[in-house]
Amino acid sequence: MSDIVQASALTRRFDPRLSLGDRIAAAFGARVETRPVRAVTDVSFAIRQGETLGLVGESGCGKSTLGRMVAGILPPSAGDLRIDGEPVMRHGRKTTTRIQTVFQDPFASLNPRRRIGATISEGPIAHRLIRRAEAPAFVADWLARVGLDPAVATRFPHQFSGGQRQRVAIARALAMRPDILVCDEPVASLDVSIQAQILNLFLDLREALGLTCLFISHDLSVVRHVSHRVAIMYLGRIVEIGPAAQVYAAPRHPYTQGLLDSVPKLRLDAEDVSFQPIAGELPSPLSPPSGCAFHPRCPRATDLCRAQRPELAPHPGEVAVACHHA
Amino acid sequence: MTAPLLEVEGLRTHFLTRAGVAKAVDGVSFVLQPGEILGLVGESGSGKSVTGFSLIGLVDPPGRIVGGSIRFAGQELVGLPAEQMRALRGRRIAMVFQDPQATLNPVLTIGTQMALALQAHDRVSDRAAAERAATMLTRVGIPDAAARLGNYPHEFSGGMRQRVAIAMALLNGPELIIADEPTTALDVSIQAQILHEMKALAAESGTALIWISHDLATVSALAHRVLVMYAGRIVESGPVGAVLRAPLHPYTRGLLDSLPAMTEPGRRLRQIPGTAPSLLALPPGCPFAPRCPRADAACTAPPPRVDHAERRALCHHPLEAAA
Amino acid sequence: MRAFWREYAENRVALAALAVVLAIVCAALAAPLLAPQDPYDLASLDLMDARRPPGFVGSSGYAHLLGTDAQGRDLLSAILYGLGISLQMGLAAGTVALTVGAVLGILAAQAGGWVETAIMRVVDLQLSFPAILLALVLVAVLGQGKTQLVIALVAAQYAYFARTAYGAASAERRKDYVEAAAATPLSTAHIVFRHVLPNVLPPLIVVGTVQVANAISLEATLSFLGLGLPPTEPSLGMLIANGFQYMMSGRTWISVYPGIALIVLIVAINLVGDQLRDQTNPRLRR
Repeated sequence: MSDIVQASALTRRFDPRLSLGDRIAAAFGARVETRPVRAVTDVSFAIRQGETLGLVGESGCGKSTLGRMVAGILPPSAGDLRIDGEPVMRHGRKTTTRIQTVFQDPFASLNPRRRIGATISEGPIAHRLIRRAEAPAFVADWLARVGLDPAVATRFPHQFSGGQRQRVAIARALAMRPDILVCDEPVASLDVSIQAQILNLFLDLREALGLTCLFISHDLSVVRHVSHRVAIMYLGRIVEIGPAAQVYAAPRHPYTQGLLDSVPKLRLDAEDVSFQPIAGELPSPLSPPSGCAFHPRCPRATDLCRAQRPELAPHPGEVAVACHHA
Repeated sequence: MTAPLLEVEGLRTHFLTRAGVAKAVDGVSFVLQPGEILGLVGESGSGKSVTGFSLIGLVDPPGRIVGGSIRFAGQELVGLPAEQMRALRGRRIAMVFQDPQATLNPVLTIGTQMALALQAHDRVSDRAAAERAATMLTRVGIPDAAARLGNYPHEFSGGMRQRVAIAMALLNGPELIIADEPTTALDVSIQAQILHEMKALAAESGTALIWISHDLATVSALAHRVLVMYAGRIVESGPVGAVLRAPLHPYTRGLLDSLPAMTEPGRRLRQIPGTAPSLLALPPGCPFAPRCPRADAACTAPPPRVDHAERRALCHHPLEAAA
Repeated sequence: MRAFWREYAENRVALAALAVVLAIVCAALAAPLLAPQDPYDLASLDLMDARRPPGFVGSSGYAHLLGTDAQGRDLLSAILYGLGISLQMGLAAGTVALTVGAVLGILAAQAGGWVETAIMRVVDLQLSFPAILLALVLVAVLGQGKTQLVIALVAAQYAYFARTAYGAASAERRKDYVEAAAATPLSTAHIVFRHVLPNVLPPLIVVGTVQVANAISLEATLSFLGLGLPPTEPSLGMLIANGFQYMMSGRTWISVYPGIALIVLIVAINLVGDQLRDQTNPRLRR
C-alpha cells in the first residue's frame, strides 16, 4: 500500500491582529505583544491508500487546525502537504477536489437558505462532474445512498434532524467523488443512537468507495472503532502515532496512557472502578512549557524532559513516540 | 431502610406550545435514598433535564407541572409557594448545570458570590464565610483556594469553573444535588478528575446526587442506580451493574449496543433504527415500539410494568434478565 | 413563507400598519382618478379659491374637503399627489442606497485588508455626522430636481446599508457552510452570489423598509427648507412649508393635513419595518 497523503513539518501560526492603535504605538517604539500562537507545530505523517487515520486530542490540541489544513481550508504557515505528490493548495487557494470534508456541526455546515438538493449538486455542477440536467437523478441517487428518501431533495436544512443533516453533509462531500475524506468530529453533536447510525453509514460508504480518511475526534472509543492507525496530539504536536490496536492496547506515551485511563469504562460488574485522572490542566499555547510540553503533568518527568524536547522516534513495531522515557 | 429523601410519583411536566402539548415528562416515578447516587440517562428530548428542573421548581413557561407529586424529606414540593421553594433551593437542594456560567455572576469575585450564597441562608460573618468558601474550594480540588477567592469567574479555566460551581452547590451542605450534564462540555482528562472528586465528595458528605447525563459510561462509573428515560418516561430502572449487564428494556439494550466500545473495531454497530418520536405526536402505547425489534401488535397498548428483583421496566416483551 | 405571514398577522398593530401602507400606496397610484383636481396643472387653479377652509365649494363647483392652499389648490388632491411623490422618492432612494450599500459592504467583508479598512472608515465617518447635513450640502451643490434629490438621499443613506451588509457578510463568511463551499472548492464569485448574498439580503430588506421611511422624512425636510423638489411638483414637505406662514392666522389646515398624511405614512412604514426586524432576528425568536 502506498502513501496517498504526505504531510511534512506542517506548522500553523496565528498572528495576533494588531489594531490601528497598536500599530501606531509600535511605530512610536512602544512594545506591543506580537507573539504568534502556534496551533500546530512541525507535524509530519502519511496516510496510506484506503486507510483511516484517527486524530485524537483534547480541546486546544490543534487537531481541528490540522484537519482544516489537510482539508485545504487553511493554508499552512510552513511545511508541505501533498496528495500523490500534488500540493493541496496553491497561493492560499485549494486546487484539488480529491479531498472533501464533513464538518462537526450539521446545523452550521449547511446553507440554511438552500434546498439540500442544490447543496449536494452545486459542487459537482461547478466542477463539471455532472451536467445541470443530470442533477435531479444524481441528487436522488446520493440521497438514497446515505439513507434518505430521494423525495426530500427540495426541502431546506431546518426541516431535518441532526442525524439527517449529517447524512446530507456526507452526501455533499462524497458527491464530489473524493479519494480522501476529512471528518472533523462528525458525530460529536449527535445522540448515542444516532451516532451509531452515522458511524455505520460511514463504515459502509468507506468500504464501498475505497475511501482514505482522516477522522478527527475527541472521543477515544469512536476513533478506536473506525481507525486503522491513530495519532495522539498534545499542544500542537503528535506525541504518539501507530496502529490503533497497538496504541490502545499498550500506549507508550504517558499522555496517551493518561488519556485512555481517563475515559470512564462501562462498568458491567459490581466492582468499583477507579480513575487515574491526569493531574493538572492544559498549558496555554501562548506560553508552552520548555522541553516536553507534557512534563508539568507527567508522572515520569525528569530534568531531561524539562530541558529538551523529545523527537517523535520510531519504536518496536510501527509505533512512533515523542517521549524520553517511552 | 431509612425514610427516602425524595419520592417522585407520577410526575408530569407538559409544555403548552403553539403546535400542541409537548409531554416532556409524562408519568415519572422514582425514589431516592439519602446519600444515594442516581444516574438519569437518556438522549436529547427524553425529558431527563426537564425532570431535573421540575424537581427544583425551575420549569419555565410554557412548561408547567400538570400532575404528580414530589415529596422531599416528607414535604410536598408540587404547588409549594415560590418563596418557600427559593428557601429550599440552594440550601437543602442544589443544582449544578452543564454551563457553569449559568450559576456564576461574571461581575462578582468567587469569594463574594460564595459569601452571598452562605449569607442568604445563614447569619455568617464575612471572615467565617471566606474561610468556609476556601475550605470548600480546596475540597473540590482547586489549588491555593484562599488566594483564588479574589478571582472573577473568567479567570478560571472551564474545568476549574465547573469545580467552583460544584463548590457553591456544596456550600450549604445540601441533602440533594441535581447535576445536569456537568461534565459534558469538558475534556476527558478534566471530566475524569471531576468524576473522581464528585464520587469522593458524595461519599464523605452523605449528599444524595442525581446525575443527569447522556453518557452511559459516565453514569456507570459514578451511580448506584440508573434510570433510563425515553420520550418522557422511565423505561427501565435498577442497580447500575445489573441494568447494564442484562437490560430488560430493548431500548436500553439498543443504547448499549450503539456504543462503539461494545463492538469489535471496524464492525458495523448494532444500531437502533429511526429517530425518537416527536413529543407532540407520541405513538399510542409504547413510544419505543416503532424503533423496537421486538415490537408487535400488543405494543400499541400502554406497556405493563415488569418487576424483576430490584429492577423495573415498562415493556410488553422484556428481554430475559440474566441471573 | 406561509408561517412567516401567519406570525406577522399575529401582531395586530403591524397588520393594521401594513394595511395603511398598502392603502396609501393604492391611493397615491390612483391619485389621477381619485383627486378632483390636477394640482400640477396651473391652469386649473383659481386664486379666488385660495386659503378656503375645508368643505368650501369653489369656483369649479365641487367641495374642497380639506380646504385649499395659498395658490387655490385643492388640498386633498395635493396630498394624494404629494404622497405619490414622497413614496416615489423614498423607494427610489432606498433601492439605490440598498444596492450601493450591499455592494460596498459585501466587498469590504470579502476583500479584507486595505479595501476593507478604506471602505469601512469612510462609512463610519459618514455615520458619525447627521445625514441631513450631507443631504443639504449635496442638494445645494447639485441643484434642484428629482435626480439630484435621489443622489443626495442615497449619499446620505447608503452608509446604513453598507454597515448592515458588512456586519452580516462578515458573520456569514465565518460560518461552516461558507467554509464548506470554499473547501469544495467553489469560486469566490459563486460563494458570494449563491451563499453569502442570499443570507445577507433579509436583514438588508428590513433596514430598507425603515430607511424608505427615513428617506421620505428627509425629502420632506429638504422640501420644507425649500431645497427639495421644484414648486411646480409640490411634495408633502413643501405643502407644509407653504401653509406654515398662515398657521398664526388660524388657517391651520394648509399645514396640518399634509403633516398628518406624512406622519401616518412614516409611522406605518416604521411599524411594518419593526415587525419584520423582530421576526427575522433569531435572538428574539421564541
